[in-house]
Amino acid sequence: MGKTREIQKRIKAVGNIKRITRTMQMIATAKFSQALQRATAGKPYSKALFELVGELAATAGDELNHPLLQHSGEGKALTLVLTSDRGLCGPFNGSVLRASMHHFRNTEGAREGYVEVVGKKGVGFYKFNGIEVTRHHTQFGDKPAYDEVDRLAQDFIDRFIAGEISRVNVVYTRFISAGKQVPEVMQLLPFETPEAPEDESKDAINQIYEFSPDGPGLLDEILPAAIKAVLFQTFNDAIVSEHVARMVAMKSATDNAGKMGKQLSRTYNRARQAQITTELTEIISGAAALE
Amino acid sequence: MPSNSFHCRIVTPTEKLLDGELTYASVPGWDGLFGVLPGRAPLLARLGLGELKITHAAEDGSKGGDRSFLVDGGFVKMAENSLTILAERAIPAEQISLTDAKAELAEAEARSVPDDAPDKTAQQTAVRRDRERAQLKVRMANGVQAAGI
Repeated sequence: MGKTREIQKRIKAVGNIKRITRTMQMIATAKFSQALQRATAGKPYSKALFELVGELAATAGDELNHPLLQHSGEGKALTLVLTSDRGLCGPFNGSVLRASMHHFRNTEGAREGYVEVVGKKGVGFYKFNGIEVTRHHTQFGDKPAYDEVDRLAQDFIDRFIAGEISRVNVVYTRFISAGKQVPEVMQLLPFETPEAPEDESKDAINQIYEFSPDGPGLLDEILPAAIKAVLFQTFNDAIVSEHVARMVAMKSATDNAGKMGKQLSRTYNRARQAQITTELTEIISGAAALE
Repeated sequence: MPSNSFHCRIVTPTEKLLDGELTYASVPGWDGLFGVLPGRAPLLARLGLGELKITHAAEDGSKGGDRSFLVDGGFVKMAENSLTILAERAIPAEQISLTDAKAELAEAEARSVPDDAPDKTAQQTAVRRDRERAQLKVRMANGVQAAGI
């Protein structure tokens, strides 16, 4: 008697969980497509900007040197880790944090340097592992605004130029496709110039640009803009990956809940049947005893 | 080669605002306005704060016409008869609301930098820039209203 009721309770609970995870899956799907749209909308900008940097670098030739491109050797290393605010997103935070630990172990000075974290999940993890978080950024949320990222990048650039930090690495999840996201450690500063487009046809034309302001002046402006665009891209990638991870995690949670519900109702039916049989036997034996 | 239009793209970090054929563009460079006509020599320049005015080419189907955007910072590249405008911020003129712009201007005018601020000049520049942007917004919003949109 007691057993069937218990199983019934569990069936109900599993059903409720299934409903919740399915809703979360649908929300993640909707958010994913929005985030993806935002991320792809920004791509033409950064792509065109990198082309500009590449072309500028090509015209400058070997004389290309800029404080933002060189190792100054002074100051401490800074690592920015992009995690999520919310959990229930499968391996998303785990793999980013593992990549960051790997980075701390294998890169000289990274562990002793500044550690800045975006997202609540990362803060908890580092606290547990005894790593001091220098700064925790909470202003980004679900939709990182370009202005916020701009401010953060400007802060990094200023500190890098001032010699307070020697390098900036960003640990984030790179979004390759809906089926593939990989945690990655990217070097933001000193900035690595993208290769000039190796396009034969363009080489043949050999554009001679008119610069306004002159080459170095333009580089002074364009490098920070490129750095900001790169950082913005990593934020977007991280958000999109988070939604994909949550989508996948919730999909399998829903599937599992479904399977478990089926299993439970089978057990329930069996238990019920057993109960009826026991009752019948009791009645029959009771009647037999009366005769 | 002499075509009477050139290709133009306006992109910002968050969206693509325009991708089409133009006959003329008046671009706010960092040191002043300059015009771009089809076949302009290759150019790489920095953008300032200002109004970007463009004239659409009359293609089959579309009539052409003028549009303008508020642009603040970024870069412009002209190469192979194609103009790329990478704006850090860009707002189409018709999306600027006069009341919002006026409120922003009042707010920017009211703001002042305390004398003992550590980065006084930087803050002053920021405030001045905000004022200029708000003024330009008001001007552009007025202009659009006058045009009867």
